[in-house]
Amino acid sequence: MSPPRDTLQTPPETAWLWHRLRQNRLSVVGMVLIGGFLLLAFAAPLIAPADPMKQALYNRLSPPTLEHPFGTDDFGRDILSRMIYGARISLRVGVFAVLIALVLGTCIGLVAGYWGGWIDQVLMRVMDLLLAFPSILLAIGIVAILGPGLENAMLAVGIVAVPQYARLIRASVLTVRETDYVLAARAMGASDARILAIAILPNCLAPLIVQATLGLATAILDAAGLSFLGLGAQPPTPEWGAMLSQGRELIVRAPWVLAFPGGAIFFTVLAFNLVGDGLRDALDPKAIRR
Amino acid sequence: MYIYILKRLLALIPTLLGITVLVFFMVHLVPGDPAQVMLGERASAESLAALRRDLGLDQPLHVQFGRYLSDLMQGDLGRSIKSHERVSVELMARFPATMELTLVSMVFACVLGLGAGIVSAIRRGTWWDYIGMTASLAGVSVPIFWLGLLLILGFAVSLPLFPVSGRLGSHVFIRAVTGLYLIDSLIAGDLPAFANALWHLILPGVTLGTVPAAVIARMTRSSLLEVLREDYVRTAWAKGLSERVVIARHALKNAFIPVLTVISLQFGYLLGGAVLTESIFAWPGVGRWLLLSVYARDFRAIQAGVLIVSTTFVAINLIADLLYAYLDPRIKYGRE
Repeated sequence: MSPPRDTLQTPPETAWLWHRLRQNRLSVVGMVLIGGFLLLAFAAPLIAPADPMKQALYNRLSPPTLEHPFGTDDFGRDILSRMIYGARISLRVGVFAVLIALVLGTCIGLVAGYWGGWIDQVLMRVMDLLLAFPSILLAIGIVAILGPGLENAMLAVGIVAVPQYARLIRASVLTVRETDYVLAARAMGASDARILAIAILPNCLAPLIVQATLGLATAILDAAGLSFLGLGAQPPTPEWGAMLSQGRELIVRAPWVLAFPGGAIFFTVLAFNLVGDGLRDALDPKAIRR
Repeated sequence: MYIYILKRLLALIPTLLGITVLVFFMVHLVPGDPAQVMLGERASAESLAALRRDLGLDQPLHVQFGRYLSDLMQGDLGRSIKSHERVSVELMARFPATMELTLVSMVFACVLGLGAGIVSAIRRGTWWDYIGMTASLAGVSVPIFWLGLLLILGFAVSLPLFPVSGRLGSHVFIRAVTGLYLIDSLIAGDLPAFANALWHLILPGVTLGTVPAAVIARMTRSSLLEVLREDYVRTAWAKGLSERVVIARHALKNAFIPVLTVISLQFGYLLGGAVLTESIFAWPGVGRWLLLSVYARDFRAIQAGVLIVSTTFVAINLIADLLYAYLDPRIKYGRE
């Protein structure tokens, strides 16, 4: 896949990390699950047995059958197909929310940690302030301002997570900043931007990877929660949280409408948590010594 | 210790001020005209002008903020745009319900989480450990809105053991003193009412407390395992002390410090998660009220709700910090 130049630049740690990760059985389970969900997301039109939006009012709330393995909802739509398409939405929301948090948080953390002084003070006090709000509450507040919708929910979930990344990066920068190779880079006349990009950022990556993986789990969960409350994806979008929300009234008559989308959220979040835990253990120098 | 407490209290001022500023500006961050957004597209020009006047939107920003702050100092959070009721009155009527749910969930989470964490650490590598850690991994991954619905389906509909919603049976009356029904019923000496209130708290409490229980269990286990490797624990074993004494007196107290941080942070989760839980169980608390305010675009109410919940969270963190200093004397003498 990757061009030879990249292969040359790949540090030996990557192969070693992969090796350690593969030894952790739970992480392997997580990776297989994530792989499965990614496959569902990318190949949704090929895999899904029916059109996720196609209504069939004559076949409302059908329990699981051979034709509809997960049953149908109150518009007669095939729940399995909606779930498969839902994987696209949930994974996309998770990835974008984490990207927002990652990019903003990394920039803030790098600036605060590298330059220090009053910039550091101001930025970190703002981050502390964001942490003073319970996260889902802050997300609800942001969506209340911007208006309900999937994009705004994604943005809200991303913004809420920024302080975690900023603090993490800042802490790493503070330790890396004083190392000899950074001093060497500076002595050779490298610009601040170059030092940050070449010498500092790559050495802050390990905790960032762990945080981003676990962050994906949280982001998917929070975004589904917002959709469940009617503040994220709007019907008829086949989003898992929104599907659960529609199924609330049917809890007695048609429990399968609830069971499957909720299970999908659960297993996706579980998968990212498993891999995140595995990565943390694999990258933890203390765990290696033991 | 007093100086430490004073320092922590002083440090609260900028945080609270920051929260207030952020909450104040919420209304001003609304794209377009906030009055229009709140009243909808078909609002008349007069009602728009009245709302702008009421929100002070016709005044310069610093005047608005000054007014907001001075009102706030007097406990005035404005009037709800929807119900025209004083927001502070509406909020105080619902706050005890949320507090009671949060506290009960926390008790559940601590009992289950600490218990599972301690057992898993002591019996490391056994089936106990395996079951405890699998359960806690599932616990941190479960969407609570789904868990709540499943609990309703399982224990209120299929097996009608618990009520589906609400705080109290329709035939039960408790005279409000604190607003916490469990305490009020005890004050009145009314045990059936206490049982009824507790019975209504079980399903929402378990729903809300599951994630914190799992987080606490994981933290307790890893923290205790860390401490059990320390030299002083080995010394305690070598002295021939019993397992109970080694664990309870030597290991747990030290292992508890990081756990306490996690517990205090979980309060934030509980206060946020209350929005979801209260919405599922029709629990008449701040979370559900806040959500209804979001649907109604009632910004005065949203501002007040966000303000009160985050202030509560800050207060809880302060208490945790003070406890922390009590447990670990190094903190209050060292650098902050």
